[in-house]
Amino acid sequence: MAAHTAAHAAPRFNKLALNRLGLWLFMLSETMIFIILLVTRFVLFGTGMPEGIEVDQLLGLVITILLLASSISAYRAETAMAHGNRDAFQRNMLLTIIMGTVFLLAVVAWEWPLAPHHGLHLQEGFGIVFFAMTGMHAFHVLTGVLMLIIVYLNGRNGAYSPESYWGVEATVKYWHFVDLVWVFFYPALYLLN
Amino acid sequence: MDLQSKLAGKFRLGWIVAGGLTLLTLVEYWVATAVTGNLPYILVIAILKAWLILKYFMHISQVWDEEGEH
Repeated sequence: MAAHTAAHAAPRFNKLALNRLGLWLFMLSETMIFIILLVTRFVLFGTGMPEGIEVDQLLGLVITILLLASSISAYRAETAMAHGNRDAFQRNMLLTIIMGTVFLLAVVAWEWPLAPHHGLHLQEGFGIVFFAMTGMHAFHVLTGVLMLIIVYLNGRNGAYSPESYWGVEATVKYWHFVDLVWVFFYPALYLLN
Repeated sequence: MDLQSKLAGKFRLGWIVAGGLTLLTLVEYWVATAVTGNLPYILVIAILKAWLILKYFMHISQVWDEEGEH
């Protein structure tokens, strides 16, 4: 009788549902950091671009499309694993890692060194906000790429199956989150006039 | 429908969403270069893009229903 009652009192959520809820709560807490940075940009500099700032809009567009493209390959990798297609999973995961790395290098190794020539300085004016926002985002891209590499290697070793691939799902969701943040950062830093 | 046909269908959906996101990004870029005082337009486009990512790539509905069990 007691066992019967305990079974009825068991929580409705299964482990996967709890994992998903936990991940979403984590991403929500991360969102707060990014919202603070976004609000800082608008409070300090209004809805336009300050005088004398010439961001490289074309570079911004190219890296934005690159990050979007990495999201589709991440989606394809997760979907492929869910349907038991390991070859497509590995191919798309590798593609996502490559595109994520190129995005990171384009920001850190290309755009940052050029930024002072466009009026963006690390310790003054709009440059502070620019480097803080792109820096925080780049850090998340870096952690995302590292997680993607771990998942790719685990996948190669047969750690996931269509019945159990939470590691893939969580990492890909995080990668989409990084893309989602850029959806708002990109116009705030490059497009407003 | 077998598993590989389902996979092809999901891949197709992914391409459609990616196409929508790319198109919106290009429109956003055009608005930035051609329209003065572009904040309202850009905000609407960004929200549309975010909705596409949340719904189709991140499957946000899994939080309140149990689709996609594995």
